[in-house]
Amino acid sequence: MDEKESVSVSKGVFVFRNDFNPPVGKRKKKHIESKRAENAFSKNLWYRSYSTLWNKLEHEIEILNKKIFSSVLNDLVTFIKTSHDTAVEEIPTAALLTGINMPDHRAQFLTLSNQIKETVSPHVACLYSQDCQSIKCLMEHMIRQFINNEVFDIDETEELIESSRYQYKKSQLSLSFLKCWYEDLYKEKPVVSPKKKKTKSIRKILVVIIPDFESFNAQVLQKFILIASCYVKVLPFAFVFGIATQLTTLHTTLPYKVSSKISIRVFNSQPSTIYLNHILENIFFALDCPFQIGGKVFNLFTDIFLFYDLSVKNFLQNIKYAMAEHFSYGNVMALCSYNKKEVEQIVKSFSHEDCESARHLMSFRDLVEKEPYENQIKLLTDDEYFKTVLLAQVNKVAMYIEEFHLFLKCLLILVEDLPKAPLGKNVREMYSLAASTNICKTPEYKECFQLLGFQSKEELSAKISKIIEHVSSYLNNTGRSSKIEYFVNDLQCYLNSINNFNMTEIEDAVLEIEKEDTITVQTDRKQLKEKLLEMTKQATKPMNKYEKTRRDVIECIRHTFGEYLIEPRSLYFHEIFFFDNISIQNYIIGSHRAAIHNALNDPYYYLQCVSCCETQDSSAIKRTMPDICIAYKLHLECGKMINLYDWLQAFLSIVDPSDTADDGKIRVDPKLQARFTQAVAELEYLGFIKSSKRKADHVARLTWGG
Amino acid sequence: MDKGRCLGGGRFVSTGERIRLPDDVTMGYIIEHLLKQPLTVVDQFHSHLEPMKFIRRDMIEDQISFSYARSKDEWNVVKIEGFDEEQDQNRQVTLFAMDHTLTSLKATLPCRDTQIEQLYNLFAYKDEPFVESVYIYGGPSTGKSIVVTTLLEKLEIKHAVVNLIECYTSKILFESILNKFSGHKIDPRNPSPYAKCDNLMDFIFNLQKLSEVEDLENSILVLDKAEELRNMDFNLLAGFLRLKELSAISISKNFVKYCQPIINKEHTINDSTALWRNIAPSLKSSLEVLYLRVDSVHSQKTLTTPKENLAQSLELPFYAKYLLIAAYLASYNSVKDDKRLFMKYHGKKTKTKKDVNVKNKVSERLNTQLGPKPFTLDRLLAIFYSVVDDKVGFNNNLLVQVSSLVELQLLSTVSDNCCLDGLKYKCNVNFDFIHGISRMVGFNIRKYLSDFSHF
Repeated sequence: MDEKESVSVSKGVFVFRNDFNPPVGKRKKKHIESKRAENAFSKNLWYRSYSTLWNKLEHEIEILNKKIFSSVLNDLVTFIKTSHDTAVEEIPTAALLTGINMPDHRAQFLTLSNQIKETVSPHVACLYSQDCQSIKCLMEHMIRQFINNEVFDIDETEELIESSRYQYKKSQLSLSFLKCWYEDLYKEKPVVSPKKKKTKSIRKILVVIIPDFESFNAQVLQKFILIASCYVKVLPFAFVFGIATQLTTLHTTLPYKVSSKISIRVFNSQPSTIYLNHILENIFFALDCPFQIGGKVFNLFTDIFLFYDLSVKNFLQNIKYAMAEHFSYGNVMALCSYNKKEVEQIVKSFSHEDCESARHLMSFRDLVEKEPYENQIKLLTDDEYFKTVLLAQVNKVAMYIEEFHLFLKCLLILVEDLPKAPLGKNVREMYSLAASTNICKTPEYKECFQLLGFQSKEELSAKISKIIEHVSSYLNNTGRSSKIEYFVNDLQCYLNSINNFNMTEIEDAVLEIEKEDTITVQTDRKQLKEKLLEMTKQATKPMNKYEKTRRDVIECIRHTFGEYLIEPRSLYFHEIFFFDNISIQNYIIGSHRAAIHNALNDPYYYLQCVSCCETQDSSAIKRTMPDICIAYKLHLECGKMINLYDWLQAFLSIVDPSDTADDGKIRVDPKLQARFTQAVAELEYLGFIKSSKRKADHVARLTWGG
Repeated sequence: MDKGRCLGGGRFVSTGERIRLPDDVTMGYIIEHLLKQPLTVVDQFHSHLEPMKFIRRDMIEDQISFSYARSKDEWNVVKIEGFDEEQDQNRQVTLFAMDHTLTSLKATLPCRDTQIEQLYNLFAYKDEPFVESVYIYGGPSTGKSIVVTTLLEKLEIKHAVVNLIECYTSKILFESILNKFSGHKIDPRNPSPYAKCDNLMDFIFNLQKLSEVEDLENSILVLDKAEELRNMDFNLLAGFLRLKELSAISISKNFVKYCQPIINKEHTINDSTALWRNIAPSLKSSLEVLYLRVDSVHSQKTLTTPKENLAQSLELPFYAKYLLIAAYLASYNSVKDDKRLFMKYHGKKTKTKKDVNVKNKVSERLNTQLGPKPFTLDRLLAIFYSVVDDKVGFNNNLLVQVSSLVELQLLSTVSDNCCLDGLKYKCNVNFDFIHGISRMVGFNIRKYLSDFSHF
């Protein structure tokens, strides 16, 4: 044990219990050190606001995770808790159908194991397939987890254990050892400390969690279950299997003699799309997250999610990357906050460079162009004036974002159950549309409002009361009295009047109209024809009272939405809040083919050597480039079959242009030929060409296009 | 003699006095001789007048009563080992004890009477040498282990039960045997075994050493799940079989393999057909669930989901679904049909007689019935791109999908992992499954299967 380290933390006297127990000081210190070393940016303003924001979001996500999984978790935990209440012959097993988003599972199973540790039993072992290639590894891994867990647990609760903790050898970790350890733990304890008797007298369950059931070696798993079932009477085991596909995999992996040893109960967890919606609605679309993802980038992320991996974890990582990219633009981005006082402080502290970088934002140009001439000069040169304008605009954008989300939610309430749902059923679909264009001008939006015009009284009044509820809860939370309040009041009036109509009145009105319309006098054919024509012209039937109110209320809603649901791009300095740089696509989606092409076609991109590789024109070939690049660029000009001799000639003419002068007799420098051969071999290895059997001195080109 | 004269009114006594024999004999005389009624002879009752030593040991269990007598200094008793002569001169206690273990054994383990008796005969008599090894075999869950262990425990024979399934190395096997024989308890703080044994020689050596300290005479080593021995070190089985010679200790090995299955005890109800009819529907419906051993609470739910929903319940990313479809197509179409199926302009093809014959394929020759064929990654991707409608970027996320499908066991790798190019895969899902998936993405899979689309 390192004595020095603990001395350096404090001069106090430490009692070293033994060498197994890591002293607390060491851990703490490491933590501090790692934090300190964490980054070179921590002095920068933008980094500070980035990290506080991300930490806050991460914390919220964690809480939300717990909440989302709570129902399944609770079921699971109670199942495990009660599983050994009666004597069991078969090992109680929970099969948790998780869905295939593998990367997300770790977090889920971690919360599960923590919850089990807290509520059921401290003995939890989490086995991943990569650690358990053989039954031996599996056993050792599991037993070590059980034993070490308990050591830490005791350590925290009570400090009376003076027993020499032994560094267990791998070979000693067998189940019979675990059995002795377990019996020792639960039989001798009450004798040692009578206080503990009540709590410890119940034998705690040994929980084994296997999160990735599919990737386990079937043989290992079968053996493990058989062995565990031999011990189930002395060691109360309980299993949790995480199954990504279906329950049927259980019988394909386990033969009857094994599956007869376990009794399975099935638990279903939520599909990941619902999980994503939860995260988006409660965290990123919530009123306290100032960072907004622009429409294009948001679309990119959701596409990756839906088409490729269904992984919420990856989605969050993408957002984190986008956030880091966003904030690293400069200190201006530190303004991405809803805290008005903080924003004011930050603006005050801005240096000239910060102002300049703010002036480089695209939307600032529009702002300048709109101003009168003298103001333009002032904006561009006077930092103080610029700061006041910036502050005002930033506050405006912040206000806009809040209202934007508020009304987006209202729009969702209105349109989510329309037939065929032209605007989609989820907030994310609407957000991606609204963040990229003005949603009120899209054909889908118009279609929605057309459909709304046919809503029945009950449906409409339910929706309106929902909207009122939502908006007024927002107003209560923020305490702002504004135009929105008038909107709520208007809606309330409409709602009252709608509710006051009763059906008989409406029908009466309809009858009246019908009476008026009947054609009574028929003089001659011509008149009748004219009359009918007239009637078809005024096709819109006169509306009854309800229909009139409906038209009015929809008009009112449409008007308000049009005011608030404008596209973010139309605001000045929206870049501070919205990140919409689609170029991060290249960093987020790895594309090895394009990367290889890029490297070979434009070596400067990676090598960064100005003298040998930099070219203006991407098709130009320099003799100083690496051989493989020259060969690759030459092969791009060829057809399906490449004549090796011609290729060599072209290669030579670039590498050694002086040699081509005497074209009568060609003598190839063997060194150059060797270089060429190597380049060709490398290209073949990379899969760009293939030797052909049809023509001996030709190779076939295998790739086409960029 | 008048029938009424020999019984009643004190005449039984006088009859007895006349023939001068004890009451039971008098009774017999009256019934058989005077009344001419034949008596049934039950030879399981025994009198002290007959020599007890002629009752053989294997007959003892069938007898109803024994007796004993002492003539001069010799005892006329049942010849049976057990308690020593001084404690139990007339063998009453021994007989009772033996009877008790056997009957209690039989009571705790019903329907295993023959097996228990066989084993009992082998091990119950302590002054006889044990047989070297005993094989016990039979189907799974027929009570082999329980019979052996309870018998050994009741007879109080020193034994060690080792389940071979948990001995994934022979080291564990040796050490646990020694631990059990020596009564060594593993201290959790210092989990060293009784002795370290890395191989069979170490084991024999330590066993001999142990026998100096402990009395290992007449010990039994029970190896449960002995079929595992086949997969373990080759010298183990031979070593254990000759353990007696090697160690010079009379340890008897007991290979619990499998006992004979015996008639199901519930099978005795007479009206079985009616009962069967009664229970058949519920049995049938729960058969699949029974196999899975899902809890009864939840079984209802699983029952209601029909098979097609299995595909729908599986949530896969959009492109992964198409990749799976492409994999299925690659697995169940032959390479030569690819051009016709997946290219827009594949040229005209003149119908040959062979084609017509192929059209009338019998179901055994349908590709979909024959099982999946391996395909290369290139082919999979080529089919994927021709099947997917919109333009898909060729990027790493897509390729990761292939490996995650393998991880989910929807595809499996056929080729060796070490070769980088030309990895081969196979599709593991069946037609119903893929049909469900392709319906979800709106794709007509039949159009692209050579079995269903005829030219």
